Amino acid sequence: MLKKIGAVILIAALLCQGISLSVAAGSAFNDVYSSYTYDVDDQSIPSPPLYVPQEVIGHDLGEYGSLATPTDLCVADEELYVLDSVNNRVVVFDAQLEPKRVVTLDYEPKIEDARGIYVHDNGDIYLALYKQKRVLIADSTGQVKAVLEQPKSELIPSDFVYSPLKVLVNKYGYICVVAEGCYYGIVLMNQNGGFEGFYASNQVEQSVLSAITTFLKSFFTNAQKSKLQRTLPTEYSSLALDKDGFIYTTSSTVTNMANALKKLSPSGKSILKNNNNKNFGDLEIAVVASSAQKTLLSDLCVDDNGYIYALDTNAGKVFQYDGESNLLGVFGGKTQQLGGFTEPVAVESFAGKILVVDQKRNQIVCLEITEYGQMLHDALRYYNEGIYDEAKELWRQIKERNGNLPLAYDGLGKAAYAEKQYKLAMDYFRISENKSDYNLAFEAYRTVFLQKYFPVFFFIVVILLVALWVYLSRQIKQGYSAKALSRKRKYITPFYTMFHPIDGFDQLKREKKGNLFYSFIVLFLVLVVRIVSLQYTGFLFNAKEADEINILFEVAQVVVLFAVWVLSNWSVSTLMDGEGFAKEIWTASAYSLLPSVFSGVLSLVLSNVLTQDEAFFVHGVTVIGTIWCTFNMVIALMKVHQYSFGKTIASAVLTVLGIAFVFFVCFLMYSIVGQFTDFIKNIVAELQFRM
Amino acid sequence: MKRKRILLIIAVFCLLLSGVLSVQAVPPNLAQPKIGDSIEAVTSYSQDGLRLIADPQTGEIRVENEQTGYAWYSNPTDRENDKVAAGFNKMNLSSQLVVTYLDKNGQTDSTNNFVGSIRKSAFTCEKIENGFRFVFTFPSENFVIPVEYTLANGALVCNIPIDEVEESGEDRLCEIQLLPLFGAGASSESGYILLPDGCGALIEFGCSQAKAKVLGGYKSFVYGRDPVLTTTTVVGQTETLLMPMFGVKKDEAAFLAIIESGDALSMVTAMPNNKESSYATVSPTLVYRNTDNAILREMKSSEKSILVYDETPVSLENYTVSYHFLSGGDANYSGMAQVARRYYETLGMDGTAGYTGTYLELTAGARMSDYFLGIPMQRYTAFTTLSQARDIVAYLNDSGVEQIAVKYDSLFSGGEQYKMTQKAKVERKVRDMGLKAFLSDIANAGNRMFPTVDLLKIHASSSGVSKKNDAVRNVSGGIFTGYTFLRSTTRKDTSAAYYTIAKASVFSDLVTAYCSAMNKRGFTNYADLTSGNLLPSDHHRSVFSKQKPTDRQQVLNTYIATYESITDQSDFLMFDRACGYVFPYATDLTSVPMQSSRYELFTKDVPFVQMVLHGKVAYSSQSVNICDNTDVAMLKCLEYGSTPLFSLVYEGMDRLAASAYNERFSSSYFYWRDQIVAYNTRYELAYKQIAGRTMLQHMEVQDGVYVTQYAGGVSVAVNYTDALVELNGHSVEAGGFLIWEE
Repeated sequence: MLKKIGAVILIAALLCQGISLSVAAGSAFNDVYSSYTYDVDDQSIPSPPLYVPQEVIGHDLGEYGSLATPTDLCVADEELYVLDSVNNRVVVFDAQLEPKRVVTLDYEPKIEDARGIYVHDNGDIYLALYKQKRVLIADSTGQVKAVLEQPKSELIPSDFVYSPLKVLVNKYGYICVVAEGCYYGIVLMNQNGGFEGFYASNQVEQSVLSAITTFLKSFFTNAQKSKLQRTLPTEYSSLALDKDGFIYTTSSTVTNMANALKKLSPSGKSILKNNNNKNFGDLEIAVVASSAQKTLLSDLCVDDNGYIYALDTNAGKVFQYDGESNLLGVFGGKTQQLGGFTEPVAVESFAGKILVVDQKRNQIVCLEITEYGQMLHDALRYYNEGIYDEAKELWRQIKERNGNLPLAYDGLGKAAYAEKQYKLAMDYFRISENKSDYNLAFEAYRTVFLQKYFPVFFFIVVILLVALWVYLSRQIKQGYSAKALSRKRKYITPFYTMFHPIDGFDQLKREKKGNLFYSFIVLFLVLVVRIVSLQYTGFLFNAKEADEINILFEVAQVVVLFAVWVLSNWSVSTLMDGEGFAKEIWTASAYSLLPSVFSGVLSLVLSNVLTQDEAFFVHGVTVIGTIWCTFNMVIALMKVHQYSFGKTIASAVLTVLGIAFVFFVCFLMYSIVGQFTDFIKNIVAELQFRM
Repeated sequence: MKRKRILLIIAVFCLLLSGVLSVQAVPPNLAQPKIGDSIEAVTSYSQDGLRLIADPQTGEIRVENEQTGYAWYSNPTDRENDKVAAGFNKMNLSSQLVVTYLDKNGQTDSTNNFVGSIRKSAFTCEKIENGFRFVFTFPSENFVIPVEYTLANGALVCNIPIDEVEESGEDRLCEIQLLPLFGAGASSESGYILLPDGCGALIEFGCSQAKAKVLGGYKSFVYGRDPVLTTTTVVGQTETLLMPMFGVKKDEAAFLAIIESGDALSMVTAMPNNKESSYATVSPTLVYRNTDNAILREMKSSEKSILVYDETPVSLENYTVSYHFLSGGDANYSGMAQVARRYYETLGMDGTAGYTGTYLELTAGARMSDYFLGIPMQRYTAFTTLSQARDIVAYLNDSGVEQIAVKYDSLFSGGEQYKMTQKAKVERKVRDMGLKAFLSDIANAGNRMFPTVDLLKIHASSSGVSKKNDAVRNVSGGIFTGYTFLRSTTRKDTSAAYYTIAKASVFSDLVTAYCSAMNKRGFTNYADLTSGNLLPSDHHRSVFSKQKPTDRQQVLNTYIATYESITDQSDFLMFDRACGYVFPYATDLTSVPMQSSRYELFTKDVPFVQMVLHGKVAYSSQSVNICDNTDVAMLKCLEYGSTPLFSLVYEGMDRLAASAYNERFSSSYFYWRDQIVAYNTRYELAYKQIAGRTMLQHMEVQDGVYVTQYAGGVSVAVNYTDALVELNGHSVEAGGFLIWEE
């Protein structure tokens, strides 16, 4: 092919150099595979691909023809077993993905309905037959050894329809079967098909709705009850073993996606670490024609390093997680491109590759790890093995290769923590929003800090205590004179009502000593404290990130709520013979909010110096502030309207109902106006199309 | 006697009956005459060593090479043996036109000229200058479509005179597929179809039935899909059909077909063997009338799709496709690329591309969500200021990277995805040094500076541009609103603001305004981010105005007139992710695809676009640092003759993730700069050696080893395998390359 190199002038021998290549030819530009992960705000963000498709097998298997509706895969003894259901056989591939032999099953009727395959270490093949409602055990030549029918037991309800999806043998030798519509857990059988019980029974998911339904049910007749849809625990869709013999499961019908993937302990409890209780699958969900396009996990596999690959049949994607439920990346998609799927049904890790079976396209897509993916795996492994130096260097590189990955900052933080660089670790954990590790780093940092500056602190604390003691003793002496002083003043201050609510609000009402200006100052302070605390509350105690705060909304919240409170209370009081004027209600209500300003400032300060273990103090301060405010508010209303205590409480409750009513009416108006404009828009659009 | 008579009558009756039955049993399509069967029925015309033969009985044509005797048929001669095609697809095998139309109920239907015209003997054939003219009448659908076949300059030219196409009934013509079976390849033949999808892709013949069953066919718009057409989901990313061409190689012969007129209104369809028929086919389709499935109440429960269409067809005089034939050593995709390059040379791609050390894609900054005292607002955050950009270029220059082309993104006031930047005013937060000094610092060392602009997408109304009034409208007459699509849901990201697209006339005015503003400020190069890849039609649909729609070809003509008008004002013209129509005007192209769409149907990627461009227009790869293996990417760049492009920011990588540039997730200058220098040291001489030369041949000499030959006897071999490879006595290391001159 090459033209004869006759008078070849080699430009320079230098030009012929080698580099080490770990990836197949030409697969470096992979822009067409739009891989992604999620950022700390749960928004999808581009990522370099972890895996790229290398080849597609199944259409040309030489003497073995081609696959017809392959439905599952299993790896045993460094061989890959492909369940080729319609061809009534199992095709066995070697590590180079070359077909080696086929096992044709000596079984009538055929295995066209087989959905799951498991190959035991002794070479026995287990098949889950979906429609025939049985599990088949054959030896390595295809001779049927046993046919296990639906197990019988009084534990199994009579209306139970047994449709086996997946099967495996656990490390204790029991056969585990996941069946469709089986809400009781994994069916556990012995080798003779005897029922051993349900393993890892799924719990009914508790939600507000289910609680209400349960409550309502107690009023229903039996006939009504039977018409209600039964609240059922979720069912499993698939299961897989890791190299230590732990069983992992996926569930397809969960409402809480944080339960969609589990690692089971021998007793059937989920022991998969999921620190932030994150959902599995997609976090962004499109709603199309009123139905949410949720992730449907139908299969999974766990590779030798403990990475979990979960298959989403709905969108044809593979989600890769590490052993702590961190999402490493998402790849695949329903496309006609190489690496795209139409109806993916099973995923398996084999010879360092990820294989996905597409039953519609009769093929297995073989994906290979990229340089970036390998780097990420190595970094996680090094960290888990405690080799922090290597891990740190790799995390540093990963951060440079994918600045979008929060996990990289997490890794760097952990490395910094291991090196006792607590401040640096805190900075990294802050970017990755890892509160639990931030808490550890912060605690360590605070300890070091306190140790260093203990004498200074000790000195300051002693001085503060002494000052407080002096101040308090003087206050007690002057306590009575404060009352006298307040009589002389033209206006009463919020400070006074804070500590002397009964007398203060009494003066405010009877002697008209309320001051509108003071009330605005209090409201302003409430606002300022709220905004400042939103921005400067310690990272550990701040539910919202600073960049999520919309100040206009916060201001509106305080001002509107306060105004509606006053409006509603005034309306209620006119109906209940209250004597307060709107101005008085406004002023008194504002005055009584002052304690929250102090509690707010104090908890703001505390939130920056306390750890999560001491959260009690931060929340305690807030609670005390709230109780104080409520108490003052009740006194204020009592005095302003000249109510009895009982009537005050009643009016307060009615006021709250009034507020709810106002908001309800506003919401109603909003939605009616919205629907009306939608209606007009639609008419215009339809007219445009039809004309 | 009586019994005998009765028996005789019965026998005669049976005979008659069987005769009638047997006549009925013969499918009418078997009775068709075959080309070459009767010499009288065939007329021929010769020119430049080609002979064009038309069959007035069947509508078929064939082109013969008078030297080699090789013939290309409009319809496969052995089509009766086809066991795969059935029904409509079987009829298509004998057709020269496949027509899609809307019936009076608004339903889409298809027919072909074999069923609709030939079998009804409703067509004529006449001799015209240099060839023949067929007029196919479709009596049931009331269409008349003339087709002219002529020979010109050694090529077969097929032409549909659009102004002579008639639709007189209630049916509305939508698409006309021309010569659907021309050059069809049987499974038994060796060869491939070439498509300029992305860098270029091959569909090799011989797809098995099992595989073909699960593969999708290929149908793609030339220059990408019209953006105003309804798109609800985007799964994955695909490359664009960059050039209005396709080719077939079969045995020792090949052709390249070029859609010379009506390119922007075309689609190209390709099928593997055993999909629709036993043949692998590729053909052009003219979109005669725009149709669209408009979505009402998108993503709501009452979502509904309505078919809408333009009243008037596209404004085009002729739909012309020329078939250029190749034989012998030129009969391959390399030979096709030479034809394609000569075609663009006739259109004006006549420059010579000099050496460019590397392309840098610098992100100046981004307009992103920010908070000022807790108040949410969009503010510009700088990532690479002028002085930082100068430092980057100076460092690389000092380290031996010469003649850098700098693509400077988001430099102008407010950044991209904000107001129109036709005033060419540099963003205040980036301008930390004098612009004059900056430009002279860059230019002094022989580098070139390209501040980029997007003068098509309107993100916000600003002086002189209205987001609504200046925007194109979709087929249903509403203003087109563009969104980005989420990778996760594959649906529109409606949480972000939408953009609209400027009408071609508005774009033209903006470019004129920008170019004079740019010159005033001292910039000398025009760099366009969008017009090379965004070609929308514009439809007005109103009860009150009878405004005709502007089709894509008209928009393209406006673009081209605009490019021609600014060549004096700009030393260099850069286009990003651009299609073939800018090749005659561009001096620099960035992000020229290094891959095809990688459909499962494709069997190989080839550097077809690169072969057309090399030596004529300077071009860069897609970012080599934003990929999963830069070492391999660099090697691939050399194989494709592409100058590598590095995407960089000077600082602020942690904030980039929250901006619209989050796809540039690996851009840190301080991480990459020494690697850029190292790559330059390794590859510089090779690139200098191939600079300005046309690429003549590209081939895979063995698994994972490729050789690219350039004019003047320079060849480059790259070895992707992990073993040392011997090439005619010289070894190429694993992951290495070799360059030699003969």
